[in-house]
Amino acid sequence: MTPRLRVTSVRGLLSFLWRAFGFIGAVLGLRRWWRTLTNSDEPRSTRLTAAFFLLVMATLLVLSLFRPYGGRHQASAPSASASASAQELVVDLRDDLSRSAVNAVGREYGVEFVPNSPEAVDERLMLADVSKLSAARRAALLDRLRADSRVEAADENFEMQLMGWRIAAASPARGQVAEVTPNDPRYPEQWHLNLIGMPRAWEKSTGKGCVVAVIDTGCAFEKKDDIPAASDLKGTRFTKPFDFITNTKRAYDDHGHGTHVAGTIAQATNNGHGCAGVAYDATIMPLKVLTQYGSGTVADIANAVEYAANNGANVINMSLGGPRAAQVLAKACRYANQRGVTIVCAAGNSGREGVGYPAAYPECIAVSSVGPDGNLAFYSSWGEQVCIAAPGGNYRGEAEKHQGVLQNTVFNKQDVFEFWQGTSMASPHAAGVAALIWQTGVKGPAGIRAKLRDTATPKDDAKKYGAGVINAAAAVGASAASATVQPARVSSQPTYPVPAHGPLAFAVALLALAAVLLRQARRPLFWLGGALPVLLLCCVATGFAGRLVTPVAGTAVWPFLLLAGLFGVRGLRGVLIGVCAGWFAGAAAVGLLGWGPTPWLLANAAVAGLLGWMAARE
Amino acid sequence: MAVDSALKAKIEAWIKATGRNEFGDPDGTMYAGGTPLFDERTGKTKDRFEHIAEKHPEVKDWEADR
Repeated sequence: MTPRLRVTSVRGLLSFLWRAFGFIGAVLGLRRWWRTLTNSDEPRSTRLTAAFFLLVMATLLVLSLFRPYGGRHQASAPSASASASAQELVVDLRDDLSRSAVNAVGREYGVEFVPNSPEAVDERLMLADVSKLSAARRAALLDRLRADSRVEAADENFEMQLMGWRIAAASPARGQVAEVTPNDPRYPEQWHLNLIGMPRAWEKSTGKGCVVAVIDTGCAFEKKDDIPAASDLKGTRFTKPFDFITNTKRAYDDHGHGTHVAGTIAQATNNGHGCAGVAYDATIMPLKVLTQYGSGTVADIANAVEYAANNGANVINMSLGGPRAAQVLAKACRYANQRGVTIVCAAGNSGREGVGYPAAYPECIAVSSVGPDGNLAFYSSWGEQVCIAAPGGNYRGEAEKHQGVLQNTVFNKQDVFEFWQGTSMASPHAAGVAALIWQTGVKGPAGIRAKLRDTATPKDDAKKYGAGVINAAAAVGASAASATVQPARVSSQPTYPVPAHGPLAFAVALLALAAVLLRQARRPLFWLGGALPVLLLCCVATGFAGRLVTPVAGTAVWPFLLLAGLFGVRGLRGVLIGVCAGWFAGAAAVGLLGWGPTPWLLANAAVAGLLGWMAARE
Repeated sequence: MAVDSALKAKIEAWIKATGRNEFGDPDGTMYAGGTPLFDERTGKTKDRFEHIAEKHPEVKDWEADR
């Protein structure tokens, strides 16, 4: 298995500079405020302000020194190639464990956990020095850790050289080759996820924010009478269920098909239970159109497609079909497509040429099915409308059933994990990858279709495989790359690459900056002293640190609030304006590079403008 | 359930006369996976005529000239 990579030298240097900046700034600021506070010649209001900010800065300094470093969870992959001479273990503990609980785990196993990096403590990604243990004891310790329910993943942390960079086997930087292995106990049986490169795709996207409508037999995400809910859908997000057969706002699954399909898309993953889903952070919209016998009417399905399009679905999966075209369904698909919804459909299980409907409509992405060997499954329909192939299982007898697609469902009133096979199972793999692509910023059906096709693993028969077998890792990688250089496609719920401890460091640095510039405040253009460093800092930090936080952390509201008290200090208004303007300029620069969300840039502009107006009134 | 050639012919005629789809269901019927003949849970495939004869036993008594 490919080791997880992290360029430690660049990140370490940036991290050091980042913290050093904050620390030096804080020390200078504290010194300045202390002098102001103790200078009896200063007006009382200024000394009070100094006292207030002295306290704030001291608090922030303490927090920035001791606050655990933020870091996105990177579950560690068990590595078959892990070096036997590894000097340390990388242990990913459950995120909900308190710091003391983490330490307790370490004590229990006789090791001391230290943060893996300045970017990975919030997620409890720890290193443990095992250099004094023999290889056998190290292996035994690793086994015990992996069996511990408090540990999501554990592995040996080994290093290698790549292109002159020192690479660690954990916590990869974005853009590096990396893998995420969920801790779901039956994940190793899900060959179908590995076949399409999910471990690498998850590093970049999990489908967060994308709503996938599953038009099917319903979904057992909640209990109904004596029918239990599917246990491995706890934690999966659901929205706006609807039953078009009974016209109720519930979508109970009395068949099992829809629950299995929904599980492929967004099974609760990394929860230590059951198995994994392709886009496990996506939201499922369960729409029931098929009865307990697995059949339904074209009218209900057309209604469901329109409902999905009108209620916020971004992707529709239809693991269903029929032999004949129907205008009403074609029209509904066209409508949804025009509203920016990507429609993915099962090609059919006829085992012969002839793609069913709705898969054969041009608005739909028709998916044929392949087995573990990547070849067309015996039951799969094929034809010129096939857009892409995806794993759907391929077995002939009970002994080969593990070659089916494993997901959780409810069948005969039992919560079960079963291997099913069909283009119904292939389609949600493609729909899930569409959700992953959607999260990276390529939103429209044409763009998603192009990404799926352009990155597919090519096969020699277009009628059977379309552009080839879906490759989630390549699709998401290409999509993320293109979204970065196409700001117009950035998500409406984007993330900002800023270090997790950035807000605190910024706060400390800004206050320090203001303090240092206190005496120069009356000089012409002194505000540049606030604007330029912040602009530079923002660009450098966001450009290289590679952390994702919500946009609010990057808004000029925070420096504004932190420095608001300074507005009353004589001569410091310019600094305040400069700081906010610099922050805005930095965010704008980042935005022009494709990361910045327009609403927050506007918010920053508004704050900077407000301050300028206030200053002009004085 | 074995379906002889005579019954197969009758089924085809019944489908044509009643405007049903190839699986003997009303036109516009859709199925999980696109066909009622393949059970995605068991992986087993049914014969189309056997499926129709089982689901619509009345077809055996159907007369084309009715």
